[in-house]
Amino acid sequence: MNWWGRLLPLGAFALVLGLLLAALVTEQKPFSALTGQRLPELCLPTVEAPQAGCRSTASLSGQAMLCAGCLVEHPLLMEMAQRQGVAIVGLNYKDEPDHARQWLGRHGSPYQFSLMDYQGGLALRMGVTGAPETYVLDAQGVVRHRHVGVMDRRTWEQELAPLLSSLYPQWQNFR
Amino acid sequence: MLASFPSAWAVLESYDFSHPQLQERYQQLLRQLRCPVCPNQALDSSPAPLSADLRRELHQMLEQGYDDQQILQVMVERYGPGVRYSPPINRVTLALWLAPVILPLLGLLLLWLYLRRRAEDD
Repeated sequence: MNWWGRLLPLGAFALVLGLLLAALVTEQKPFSALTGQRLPELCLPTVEAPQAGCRSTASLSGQAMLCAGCLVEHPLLMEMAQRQGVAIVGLNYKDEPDHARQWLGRHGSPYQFSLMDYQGGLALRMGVTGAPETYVLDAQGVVRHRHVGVMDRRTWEQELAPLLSSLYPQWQNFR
Repeated sequence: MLASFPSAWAVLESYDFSHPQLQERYQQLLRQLRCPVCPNQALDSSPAPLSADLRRELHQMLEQGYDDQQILQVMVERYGPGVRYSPPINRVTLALWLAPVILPLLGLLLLWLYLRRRAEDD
């Protein structure tokens, strides 16, 4: 057998190894159809004032973030809302409104208001697959970023804070 | 007795359709769509809450007169091309479709070359 006949298996092995390594180190971004689009239009009552009629998702411009089913990151959201003044909308996803009000009453609310998605219809149309999910909105209400899963401090500092300060010049000194 | 348990979907929620044809298309669509939050399970057998929501939505869309292409398009736009079990053949998926044909042929070719050489050496 000539020399390339011997090198061929080794070459094939190196190729497969290279592909596997590349797949391992490149970060898999979750598919996000909403990025670059507006939120699906739907009018939902709020947790805070359920009698006051509904708030349309089309009127969310000026809100920087939408957090769906967010409980674990509550302390971080409180910090962002209080220290940085970030405008956050909550999406109360498939939860009892009474339960949500009690919870917010006990822990404080970082939200401007919370949309009440009792049936999960808005989350379904948004393509929420792994709540909690966090969406960054620009000043026109267009979705710029989707984060799937719990938002921790590292995500906040590396992904969200830089994007928010580029979208909203008034929030320059994020830490 | 067996006829009353046609398949796994019978244990999931069932919907009434205004036309038997819609029911037929509903079952077909469920088999073609992957549950977005499950490790490879079709909507026809997935017990995940999201799958139940999607089945309810499919029922509504079928009753509202959406055709199969429109329904699949809505699902792909929302969850990405991976939501379909048979992705369309295009530039991105060409390698995916051709690899199972080309790779075995390549293997057979190499095996043939190897065996021929060994026969010559003897």
